[in-house]
Amino acid sequence: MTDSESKIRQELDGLVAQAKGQAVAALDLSALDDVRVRYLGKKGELTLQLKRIGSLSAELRPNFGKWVNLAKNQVQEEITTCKNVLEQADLNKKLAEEILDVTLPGRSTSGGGQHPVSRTMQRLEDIFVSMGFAVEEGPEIEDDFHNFEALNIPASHPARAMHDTFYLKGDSKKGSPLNEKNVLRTHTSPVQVRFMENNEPPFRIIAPGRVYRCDSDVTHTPMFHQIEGLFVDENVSFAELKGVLSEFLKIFFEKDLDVKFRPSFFPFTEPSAEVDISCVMCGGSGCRVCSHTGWLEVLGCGMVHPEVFRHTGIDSEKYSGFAFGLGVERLAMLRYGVNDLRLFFENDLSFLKQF
Amino acid sequence: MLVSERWLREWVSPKLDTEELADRLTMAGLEVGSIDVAGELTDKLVVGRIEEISAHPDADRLRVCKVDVGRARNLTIVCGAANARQGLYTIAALVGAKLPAGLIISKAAVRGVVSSGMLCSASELGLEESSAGIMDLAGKPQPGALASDVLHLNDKVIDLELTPNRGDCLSIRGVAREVAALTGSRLKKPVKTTEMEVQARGKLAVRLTASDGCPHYAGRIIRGIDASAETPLWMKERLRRAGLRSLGACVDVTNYVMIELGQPMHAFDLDKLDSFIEVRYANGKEKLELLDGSMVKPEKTDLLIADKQGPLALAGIMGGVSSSVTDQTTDIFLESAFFTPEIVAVTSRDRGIHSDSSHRFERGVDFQLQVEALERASALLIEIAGGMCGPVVEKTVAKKMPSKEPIALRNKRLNGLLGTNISRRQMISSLQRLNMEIKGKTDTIWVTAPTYRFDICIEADLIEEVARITGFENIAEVAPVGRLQPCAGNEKQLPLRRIQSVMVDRDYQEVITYSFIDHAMHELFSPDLPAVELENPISSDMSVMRASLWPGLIKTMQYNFNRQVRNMKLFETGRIFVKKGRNLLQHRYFSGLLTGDAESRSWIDKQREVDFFDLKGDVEALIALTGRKNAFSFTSFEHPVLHPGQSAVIKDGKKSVGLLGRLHPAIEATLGLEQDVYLFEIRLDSLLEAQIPAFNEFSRFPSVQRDIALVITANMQSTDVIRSIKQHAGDLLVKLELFDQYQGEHIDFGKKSLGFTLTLQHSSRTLTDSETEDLMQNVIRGVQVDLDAQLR
Repeated sequence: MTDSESKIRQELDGLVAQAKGQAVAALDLSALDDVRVRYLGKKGELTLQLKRIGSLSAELRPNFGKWVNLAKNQVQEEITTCKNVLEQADLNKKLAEEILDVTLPGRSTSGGGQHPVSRTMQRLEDIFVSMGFAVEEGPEIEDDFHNFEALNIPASHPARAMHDTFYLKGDSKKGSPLNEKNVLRTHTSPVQVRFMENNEPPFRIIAPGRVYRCDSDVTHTPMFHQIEGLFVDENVSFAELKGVLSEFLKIFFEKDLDVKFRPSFFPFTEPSAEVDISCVMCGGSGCRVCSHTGWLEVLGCGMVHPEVFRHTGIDSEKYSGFAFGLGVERLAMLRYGVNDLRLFFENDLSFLKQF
Repeated sequence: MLVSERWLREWVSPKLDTEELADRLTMAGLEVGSIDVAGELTDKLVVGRIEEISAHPDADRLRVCKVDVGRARNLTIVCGAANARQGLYTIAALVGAKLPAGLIISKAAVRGVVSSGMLCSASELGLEESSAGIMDLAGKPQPGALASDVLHLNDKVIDLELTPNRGDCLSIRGVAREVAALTGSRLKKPVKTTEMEVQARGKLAVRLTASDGCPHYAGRIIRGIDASAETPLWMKERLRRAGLRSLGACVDVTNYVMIELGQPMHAFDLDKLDSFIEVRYANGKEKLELLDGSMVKPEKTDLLIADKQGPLALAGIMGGVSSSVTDQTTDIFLESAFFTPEIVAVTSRDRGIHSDSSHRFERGVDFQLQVEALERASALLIEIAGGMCGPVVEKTVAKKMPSKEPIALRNKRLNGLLGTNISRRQMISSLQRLNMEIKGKTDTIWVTAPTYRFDICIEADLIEEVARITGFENIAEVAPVGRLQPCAGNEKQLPLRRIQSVMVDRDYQEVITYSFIDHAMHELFSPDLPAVELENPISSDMSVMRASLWPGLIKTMQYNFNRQVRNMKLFETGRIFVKKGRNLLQHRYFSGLLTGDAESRSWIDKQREVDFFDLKGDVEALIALTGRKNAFSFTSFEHPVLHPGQSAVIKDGKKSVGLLGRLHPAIEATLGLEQDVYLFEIRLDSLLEAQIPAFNEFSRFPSVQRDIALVITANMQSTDVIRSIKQHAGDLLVKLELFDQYQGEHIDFGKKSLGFTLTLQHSSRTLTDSETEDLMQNVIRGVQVDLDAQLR
């Protein structure tokens, strides 16, 4: 290396060192950019070095360009490094400023909810729909024929007294839709009648809805909900009625319950049965809910009475069927442990919000 | 039906304990509701004999008795009963005894005399409602013997909750027959009914004028009785356990026979009867005072027992006061008749009178039982009250009597319906246990039910009986097998739960309120609709069928507001009831209420109260589910319960399907509400009607957006502006959003500014700037012409 060569190299190294020192000393990005402009900008000290090339000897010229570029690269590298550091510091500062108390509550909504009776009704519908039942509805103000007569409950039948019927005030006006024969339906069974009047077997339906009885005390509300079921086909048997309902109860309570069918009486089914399950609260050992009997009465059912088939124009020699009716509130109380029937219609939000 | 187990076991006594017996009955359809003890079983209540009796030294009405209670020494017991006398056998409560009313006997000084017990009356022992004196035991029982043994208190009372079809089990004999059939035990005959010797003369003529209501009537005169005779303890006790009070010898005997055999009977005072007994319908002009003190005016459908003078009793239901037996009665006429179930049921219901007698007649009383019961009652009465029997008068109108025709029963049908494999022999034996007569040697047999079984009329009734005797528990549980039959899918019908879950997700709470409301609320909310009223409401605030779901929502809101809940969003689904001409409409509605803060109180956002547009947004969210958003419109509408400037009718096409708006401030004031309430209701049919999506080709070219602000008169509605913009923008307008409404500074008074964003897009190419500009100019000119709208 010649003297002049090493002198130039020393000068360049000096500039590089100087630039690096200033870059490191820059406190923020704009100061750093000033350093860049000072050394690498169009009129920067290192950029200007290239203009010296004309004054250099011929043997120095080819290397000089290389040396200057090397110096510029070194400075650029340092500036980039410093920039990264400063940018990171800036970001850190910004992040620090944006720290939130993540334990503060979210922008929550008050949250709506379903009525427990609706919730239960949906579950019941889902179970029966999965067994191939279709959902049907019917009017709540019924006529005497559909609520009673067609269901084999004539006016003189003592079973009428079991019903505590709400009657509507008839009006004397001719052609009025209301007369003394109008009642609030006492059960969902009239939907069976209406459906059978208009459809040919085979069919499987359930009919959920409001029903009304003129009774109000600790264990009765004047309005409640039932789900009626009807299964009609050729050769439908009582054994199948037992099979379907027993399975249904086990699915609803998600428990392997003991299910007991015992004879009872409903004018529209024959044979008729009440269904008891082993108490879901105590498992059958006896508690307040099952009145220490270990059993809970949960539904009524039976084989469709030939009179009902006759009233609806279905051949009872060809077809047979079963029907059942269950109280939705009763099942809701057992499922969710509700201890007072009246809560369902008080609509206290403290109660409703629990479902 | 309350059944004394001891009494029942005199008739049939299977080798089962009480619990097992009860279980067997329940599983055969005679549900046992409860089992109670007949009385206290304690060794502190014993027979006592008064050996000596003397006046109390210090009290006029008290006496001091020396009582033999089977111990070495007689006890000294102070007693206030008037019937206390030397030699009386009674029940003594010893020190430590606890009486049913709760009194515990202790050794105590009564006015200075120490009494070591108490002599008891029947009422103090819980055997009677009230007693005149201490018990007077007949038959000289052993002093010191346990009261529970002497009074047969070691008994259980089984409460049978009988279904209306089993009228035949409303007697001890009826239940015994059933127990015999169920257990195979032999039915005993503890009671010998024999014809009474006729010692008295005289017959009362009986006329069955209304033979359809009474085809069979038996009666007799009994003369010379002591109607004031004391009913023996054993009979009183049996009546008590059956739930009946002792009311004198005649009534007690007829009640006893009713409980024992199932035949309701009635005793008339013969002296008060004139000439004859007639069973006839009322003529509609008569009056009758009944034994319970009520006065009835029988109508022409009501069956009466009458004499020459007029009505004596409501047949099969209740006797009248004028012919009733009193303590002074010496001669009676005893009635034992069969009244037709339907006739008794109708009168009992129409007159609102229910008695033990009507309860049995309307369920069916064995139509061959009358004479047997009459003889039994005669024997018992003469045993207790003395007297001599006259001859039995029996009238029958054979062609009006119920008949028991043979019913065909097919073994194959039975097994088909039950899903069983019961043999013909098994089937026959089940029915024979129930005393049915069987004929026929093929698969089909002919079965005749006994005369007390009114519930056996058709084959299905017999199938039920065989199933019952077989035991439902012995019928298998089988899953039905059949052709798969999918439920019809209907995509045009939204499931209700979809709508409900949107509301739940938007913070609404579902409620279920009563379908009947207060008349005043009906008047307030549906002033134009005639009330659909209940004839027999539970209370006056539940007397009208609702014509709107709003009163229920308002009531729920008030209930919770009174419990410190201020912010509420509620919804309900249910029917409303509206009379419209000849029709009674029972449409299903979906209805909601909101009030209070828009969001629940939070640290982060500014509070604001809910307003009309929260309400409308929720309704629009529901409508969006139908996929028929464009079919619905909202139009200003005045409704009596809504704020006139903040209410709209919701239309689906041209049909009005609902309402929404703020509750009228005047109604808020009437109801004492303290904050604004917003309400909506929509016909559910309309909300559930969905459109099946149909694919539309869409543009993949860039769209452009342009904002314009238009100044219009303040009372102009946004729909009008939107309609005009759409019309002038044409097909290239793919989206129009209203982003601003402004009134105030820089806008003239009486004007407002609406800001719109128009999104424009061509289906097959990119729009040029000039095209866009032309279109915007077109829109601006258009709205200026249509609405006098100026660019802001």
